[in-house]
Amino acid sequence: MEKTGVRSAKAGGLLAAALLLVTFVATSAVAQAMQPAPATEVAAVLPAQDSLVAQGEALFDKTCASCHQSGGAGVAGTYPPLLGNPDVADSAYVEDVIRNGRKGELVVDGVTYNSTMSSKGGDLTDSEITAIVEYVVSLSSQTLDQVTVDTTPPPKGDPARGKQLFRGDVKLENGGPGCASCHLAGPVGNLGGYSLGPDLTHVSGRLGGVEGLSGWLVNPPSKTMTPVFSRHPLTTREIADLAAYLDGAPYQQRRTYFTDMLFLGGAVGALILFAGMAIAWRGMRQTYVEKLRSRS
Amino acid sequence: MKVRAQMSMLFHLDKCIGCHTCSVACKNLWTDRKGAEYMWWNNVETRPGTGYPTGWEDQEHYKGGWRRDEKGRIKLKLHSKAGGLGKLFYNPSLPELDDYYDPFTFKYGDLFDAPQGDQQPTAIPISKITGEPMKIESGPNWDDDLGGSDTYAKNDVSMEGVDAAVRAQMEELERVVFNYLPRICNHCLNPACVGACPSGAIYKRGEDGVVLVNEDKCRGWRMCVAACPYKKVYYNWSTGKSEKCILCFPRMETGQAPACAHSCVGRIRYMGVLLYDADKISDMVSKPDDELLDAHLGMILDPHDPDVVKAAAASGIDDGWIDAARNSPVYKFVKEWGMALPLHSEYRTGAMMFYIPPMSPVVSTIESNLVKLDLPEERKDFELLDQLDKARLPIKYLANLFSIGDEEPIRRILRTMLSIRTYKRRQSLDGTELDAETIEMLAQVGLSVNDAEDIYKLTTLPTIEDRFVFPPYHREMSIEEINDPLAHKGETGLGYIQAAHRGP
Repeated sequence: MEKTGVRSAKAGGLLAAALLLVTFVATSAVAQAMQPAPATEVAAVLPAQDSLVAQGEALFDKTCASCHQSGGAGVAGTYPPLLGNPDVADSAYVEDVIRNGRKGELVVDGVTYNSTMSSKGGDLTDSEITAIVEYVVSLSSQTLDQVTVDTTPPPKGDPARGKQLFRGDVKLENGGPGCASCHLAGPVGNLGGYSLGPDLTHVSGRLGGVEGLSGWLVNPPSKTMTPVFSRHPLTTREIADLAAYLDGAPYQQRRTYFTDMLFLGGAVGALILFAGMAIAWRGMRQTYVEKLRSRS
Repeated sequence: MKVRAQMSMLFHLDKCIGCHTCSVACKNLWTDRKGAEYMWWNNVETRPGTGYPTGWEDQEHYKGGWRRDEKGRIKLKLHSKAGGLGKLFYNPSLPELDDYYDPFTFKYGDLFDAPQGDQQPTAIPISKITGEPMKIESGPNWDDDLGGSDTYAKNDVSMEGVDAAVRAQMEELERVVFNYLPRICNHCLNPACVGACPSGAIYKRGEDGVVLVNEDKCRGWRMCVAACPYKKVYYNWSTGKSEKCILCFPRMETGQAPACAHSCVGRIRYMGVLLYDADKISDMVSKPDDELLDAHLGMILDPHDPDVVKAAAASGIDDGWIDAARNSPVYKFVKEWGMALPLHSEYRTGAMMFYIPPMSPVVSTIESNLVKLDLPEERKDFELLDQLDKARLPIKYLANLFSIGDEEPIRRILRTMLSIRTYKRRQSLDGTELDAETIEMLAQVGLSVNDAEDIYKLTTLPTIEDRFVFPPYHREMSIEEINDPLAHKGETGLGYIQAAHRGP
């Protein structure tokens, strides 16, 4: 009894050690992938603006513009505009939304919005929030032509290259991980992609088409992606390509000839196997007494 | 010489009336529980027949026991170690519930609670496991008292080698003949169940050789169920553990006979200590078939031999056990008189329960529909001895059961019994003086008149003390080997058995 106890404890120890080793190797690999670019401190990048509003604008472009768009124009139906929105004149309201996020229906200018904004309070310092609030409040009384918006049209994306980027066939320029390491969108491969992150097949509809996607991808505002892509940002061209690809993904067929054949082959194979078992193993499940009874 | 003691049971089949009292006593005491409904640690079979579970002797199918390979080593018939791994989750040799029987009872409540109607209420059969109504298709002795049933008796594996004409005759209903075979676990010297258990949960108890399943260690792999050639390990579907006959060790430890033996109305069962040489086990079980039976019986040591007594004392066997071994009725029948044999010695497990084969009437000749024993009246008693081949139960059949197909030991035993019967009949019925012819008859089977008297007394007139000779178990001494009783003196203990009262 004691002997086997010791033996099993030993075996358990070995197993635990092996597991630890595997975990260590895996985590250090991931940590290395995410390691570089510690030098570019956020504060250092900030332009030394005198005006609080100008400081707020810079922060807004980094933190908020991926959804609300540069200049706060929003995306109709998906991200509410802040430009010319009377609601955001209330600085207390704006600060609350920034700090705590917002959920639920919202009507701006006759258009209904229903998306979720996550809390940003943890990512920003108090003074940064004050600056952004100042800037957003300033937007409430302006219209599109009054603000300086980057009007250069985004480069036209190439969906084919977007697909290669998504699958990781072409490496991302700044070293970020390919989308397919977590996501799935349309017919990624014959056997599908990964489901660690959300399925992106219909993401274009959710995020407001190419325009929305492009904005979103500048600085992906999700808990998992922000830490990775703030260090390894996508280039403008990559964003355009990926947006073009993701916009097209839902219109492609998920099923392919290969998957159809795989399914059909499996079904036929199973049938042949079962038939073979039924013939070769006939009477195998007959008990001894059943055999005697059938004999007499 | 490493001497060990074995509690052994002897079945005098000539006295068994097939009443199943033993089975019921055992059932009530041990297997009247959920998950154990189908188990009969003790069962009585009508032979020829396929027994319980059906066809347990067909080792081609069930793969129980050991086989001897070309090099003279023994291996489990069931599987090799690697093969066992492959069969962890599907073992075709494992008997299923249908091979035993679907345990049933009757809905007796309906007899009392049925509303008034035109018909008498009936108690329909219901499954003991599910409680649902069921069709009874078999039972633990389904062809009880049927000698020639087509389904069972005809398929008795031990009928192999019996003359075809004799078999045909036995299958005729008018010539019906059968005997009873009560079976419990054989508490073997080389148990296949122990050999097959992947968890090491089965062991043979040191002091009396009882083979037990440690329910804490059992993982329910059921290799023991398949490996036991006697099919005397059972799987409890409720607890997920295997169980078997424990030879009523709690009763034996307190000086009582096991429930089956104690309740036997025919008083066919005897119990006593046998001393054996544990060093010889592996040599014995790997003997070729023709030497196996002699080697098997040769395991048992003479408790009167001073060398044996010395070796026994050196092996830690208590004097009380040696005394009990000297008085053991099993030792007398098996070794002194050579009248008892193990069941299916060829399974190479070293079975330690012994059987005295049954006598059966001599087939009489039938002439013009008149039954006539074709013997001269005055020579009848003596002539029977030479007519053993005309016994209704074929010698070959008994030999297949008890002596690996060798008819010689069976003939010797039957002649011994017939001689004593003839001697006593002449003495008590005919009132003849002891004549030279009778003494000669006894001498031919190696018996003196005193031996014959002793056998007669132990067979027909034994008291309970004669039948059951139990040694003092001295459990207090066994416990001292692993636990010092004084170690915990004055302590409160852990409160498992008796809750500790430590005050407010």
